[in-house]
Amino acid sequence: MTRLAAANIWCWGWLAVLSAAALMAAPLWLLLGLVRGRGLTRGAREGIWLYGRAYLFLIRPFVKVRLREGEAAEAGPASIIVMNHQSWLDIYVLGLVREAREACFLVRAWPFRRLFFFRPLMRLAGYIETEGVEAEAVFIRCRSELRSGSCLVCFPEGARSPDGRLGRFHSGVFKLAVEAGRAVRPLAVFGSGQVMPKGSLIFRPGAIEIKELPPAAPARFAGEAIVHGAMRRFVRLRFIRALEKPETNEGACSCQEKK
Amino acid sequence: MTNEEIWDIMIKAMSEEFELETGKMTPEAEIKADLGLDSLDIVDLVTVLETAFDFKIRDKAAMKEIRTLGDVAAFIAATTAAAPLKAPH
Repeated sequence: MTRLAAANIWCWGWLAVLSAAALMAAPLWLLLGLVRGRGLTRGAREGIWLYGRAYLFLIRPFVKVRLREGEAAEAGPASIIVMNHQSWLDIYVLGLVREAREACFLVRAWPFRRLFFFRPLMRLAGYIETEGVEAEAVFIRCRSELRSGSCLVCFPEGARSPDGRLGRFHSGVFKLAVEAGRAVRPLAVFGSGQVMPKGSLIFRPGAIEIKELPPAAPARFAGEAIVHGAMRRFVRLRFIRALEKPETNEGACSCQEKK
Repeated sequence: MTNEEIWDIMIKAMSEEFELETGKMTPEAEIKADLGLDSLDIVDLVTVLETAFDFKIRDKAAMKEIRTLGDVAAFIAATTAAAPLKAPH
């Protein structure tokens, strides 16, 4: 059996087993959360995070995931994590980021429509749908989450990159950061697009690395005509520079800028 | 200001602010479908144009009707009392 075939049997097999186990354990986990006084929403978020973390552990023989910590750990818990997006595995790799333990994801409309398996859990976890909803309504919910101490997670490209190249960033999350006076914490993901590219169903053995880039606070951009626009460009540039450095992502992709 | 000058200033301002590839910025390019701008970007576009052309857009509702870059250029031409655009490039 080739290593590629073994990797796919292993990774898909564990995904099925773990997902089934997680679904069966979910009621008990949520009940435990209620008993502990954590509430359903926080319990669901923590459960999803642990599920992702467990999956990363299980696929280690073929897919090694490593976190390179940076200054972001000093930005405080109630901030906004932004990530580049190459693969659905990017959601799982957040299992290595402790600040994302009870994170609230900003999600486009289609996962709520098509991921029927995860939809109830996403609803229970209070993930925020950003598409087909008035921007102000989304901002109100996001601000409320930040005030309650939750960390928000967003993929500002809005979709997985088809070729690993960094796409254009949408403004919404940066506008939110400016309005709420919160820092944006960039997490650069390397290699997930090689392990499981968009449109593929084949795991390729490899390495994924998450690198915490320095956080960006809105105060830095005061005086700009469009403050969130300047913040968006600054953060994207940080991603471009980080993704262009092959020495920091051993065995991972070499990403290039895409306007 | 000529139509060509309007076009050049507009393309420079928009490509810098929204990080757009100038090669894709044709008069026929739809600002949402082809260039990927969203509703928040359209709000920002008002500020971008006001800064670039040093004027005040009072009819902000008209901006919502704009679909293509050619429409934007025509809107600027009308606002700055320039002659209507024929072929910006």
